[in-house]
Amino acid sequence: MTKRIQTPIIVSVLALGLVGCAGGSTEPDGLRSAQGLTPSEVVAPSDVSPAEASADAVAVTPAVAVEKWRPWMDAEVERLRNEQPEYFDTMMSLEARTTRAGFPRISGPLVRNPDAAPILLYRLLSKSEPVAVRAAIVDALPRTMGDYSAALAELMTLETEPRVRELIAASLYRAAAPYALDGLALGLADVDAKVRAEALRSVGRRKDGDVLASAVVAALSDADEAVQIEAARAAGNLQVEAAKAGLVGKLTSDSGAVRRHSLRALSLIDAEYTRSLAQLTTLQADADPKVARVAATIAAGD
Amino acid sequence: MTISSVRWLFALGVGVALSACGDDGGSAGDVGTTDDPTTGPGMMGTSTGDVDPEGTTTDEPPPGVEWEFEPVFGVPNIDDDDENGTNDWLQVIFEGEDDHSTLLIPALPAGHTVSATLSGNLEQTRVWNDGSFVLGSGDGVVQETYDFTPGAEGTTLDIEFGIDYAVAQLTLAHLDDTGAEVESAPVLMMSSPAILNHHMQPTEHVWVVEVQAGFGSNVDMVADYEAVLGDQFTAIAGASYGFDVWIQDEVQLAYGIGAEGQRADTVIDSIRDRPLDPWAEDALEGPGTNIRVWGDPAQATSWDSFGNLENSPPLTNGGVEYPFGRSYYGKQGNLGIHDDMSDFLVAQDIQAPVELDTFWLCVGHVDEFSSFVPDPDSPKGYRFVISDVPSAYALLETLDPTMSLGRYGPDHGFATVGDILDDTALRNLNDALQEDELDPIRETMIAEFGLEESDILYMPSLFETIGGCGGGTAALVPGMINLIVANLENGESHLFIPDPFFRGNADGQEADPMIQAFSDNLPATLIPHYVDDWDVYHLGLGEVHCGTNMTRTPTDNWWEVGLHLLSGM
Repeated sequence: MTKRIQTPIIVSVLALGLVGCAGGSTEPDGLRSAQGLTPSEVVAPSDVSPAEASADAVAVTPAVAVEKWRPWMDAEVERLRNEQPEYFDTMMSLEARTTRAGFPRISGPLVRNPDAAPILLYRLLSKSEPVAVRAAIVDALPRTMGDYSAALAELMTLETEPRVRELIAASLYRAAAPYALDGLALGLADVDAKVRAEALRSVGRRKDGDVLASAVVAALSDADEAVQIEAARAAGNLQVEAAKAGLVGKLTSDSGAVRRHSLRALSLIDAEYTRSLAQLTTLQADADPKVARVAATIAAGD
Repeated sequence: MTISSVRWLFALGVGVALSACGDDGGSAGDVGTTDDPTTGPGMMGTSTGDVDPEGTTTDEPPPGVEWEFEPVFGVPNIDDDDENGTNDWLQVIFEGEDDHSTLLIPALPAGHTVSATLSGNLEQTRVWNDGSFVLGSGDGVVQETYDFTPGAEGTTLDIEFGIDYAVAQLTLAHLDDTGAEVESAPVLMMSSPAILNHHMQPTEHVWVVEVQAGFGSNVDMVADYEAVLGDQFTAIAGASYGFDVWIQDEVQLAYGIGAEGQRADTVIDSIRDRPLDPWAEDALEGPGTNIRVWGDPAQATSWDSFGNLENSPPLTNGGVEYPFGRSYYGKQGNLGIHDDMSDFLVAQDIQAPVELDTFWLCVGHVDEFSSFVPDPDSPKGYRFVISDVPSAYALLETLDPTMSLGRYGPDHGFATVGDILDDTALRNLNDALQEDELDPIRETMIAEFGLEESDILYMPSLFETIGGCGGGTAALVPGMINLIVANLENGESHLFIPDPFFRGNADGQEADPMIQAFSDNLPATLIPHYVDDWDVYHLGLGEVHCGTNMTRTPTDNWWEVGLHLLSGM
């Protein structure tokens, strides 16, 4: 995998992004400049002033504003600066706390507020913050219950830091279609294996994830073991019939985890077919006890 | 311990005494060398009678002397009783030092002497006579033999250990006035292994880091602790420690005890080295407590936090009694808790550690899925508590699918019970975790901890994958098994348990079916307190146990009940 972007699902609002960023004319660290995109990817930047956008925002819900998420965000930011300046300032500076796992996270009562979404997006685009904090901002967006779907889908194309794209892929699990699927398609084709794996996790958790079934099947052949595992899990969750042949092929993988998750995925897709596989006998005696356990369970029909 | 580190005698101005010792010491009471000022050259072996304490020769026959000695069971003397900033092991024994042991050598007939030979762990054992170093490790030398004459009332040797579980043998030969051996007796000398606490021991003191920050507040949880524990509880100001609330992870408290009533607590200081790192030095270090680190902080991983180091209550397994339980932690091969830490715990012998696979968790700690709680009505006196997926789904399937789950909407994406039940991927994930991880862990615990099915409490639990954690999982429903057991003097056992908030925002705990199920499953003698840990801990990928630490009172003497495990003897 040498190209990061393989799927031309770039949303048309792509360049509404950075150059129109409210309050700043320079790109924050970690975001690829829209000027670096090819002309065909770029549409004219928004000329909507914050004040005008604010007026629009009053009339529209985030759900319908998503296609023009940039002016919506600008308008919301302007509104919140005026109406809730303390909250705005707090969210702009709210520190990411260190989780028990060691990476930072932004969470808590202040985040559980749809108004936090535009502020966090604005913060992401306008402030230069460490990569881990930017990833934490992305991670926090679903907890706001606000609108971030189109924004994250677009940012998947612009973000240069793999760690941030990884969290974008994770957060797109809870984002609205079609933007979530657009962003996840990009994630599945990402140059970074962790991003691809995270995108597969999100695809596999979405009820509409089967739209990307062909990419899931293709990911079974990914060079990265973790990606293969997540592809198998996603195929099982989505019950992708077309994945059966690929999954059978993975039953002889050198990786016990790949064998195990492929076998389990097969049983989720077609339990009877899986029980009929000759490999099931071999796998019940697999050197990896976890594989043997799953095989025994399947063979027993549990 | 390096040789240079014990060059304390000269530094403290008593080097003359040691340098005069040669190979047999030179302090008051010593005999037998030509340099000995108390006997003078040529005196030994020239007397035909006994010499009384004043040096008067008598002609009375030597009375019988009982030449048997109880073993010496002590503690490592590596704290700082005089609070001078220097490890006591690196100092001359001083007034007020309370971590040494004593060995009384009886008075002998005049002219009789003692020849003492030390073997075993000479580097970490030391013998003093009347304030002078005479045997073992000191001042850069190792002294193996020492001849002396006990005083008129006998002589009390001071025994000191420089490490946990140091084992030595002192062979005491009683010599008559011709130098011939009357009899010889071995004395086992041993320091306490470092012993980890378990949940059956009485609670001494409890600590929680109190925070009121943008990410949340735990003042209500702190208030719950204070109400139950009173003076046995301290809330630490979070602002003083960078709002690092994970105090369970920062230190593991262990202890050593000795047969003369000594107690030497050890703070095992994690190599995680987050903002709470100085807390142990600030609050715990001092007389009776030493702080040590195992491992290289540059190599620290999440597994080096001490939510990943727990200890069971006493057990018998395969005919072997483990009166101090067995420790367990997440480790497989060379992944997991740092090798230096696990090697130390294994080397202590007394709690025979067990390794578990915790790599399926984002954080990776054993306290995320298991615990032990007292149950005086059960055969073993306790129950093993383990996370259980099937019982969670069984419970959910009894509930109204439209039941609102207030906090789960924004923070987990599940607004109702039905949302959870309808999530096929979540179900597949949890079923797989049960089969691949929790069931094997349960089987390991049964095999290694002597548990029977009736000893196990299965607690409803669900996990979810955590974004950016490589597929690692954490508790979806706050991990109620991630709890604290506080055993009070009045005999009550209180549990502090994460409130699962499995209910609408307007509902109280009485309406929470998860609390009901958990409480129904607990032994009736326990007093549960469901505390709000949602914002500060749960959303930070931990729970109540992760945010609490405590000292406990030792209850059993290892030299009475645990010697069979100490293969280093």
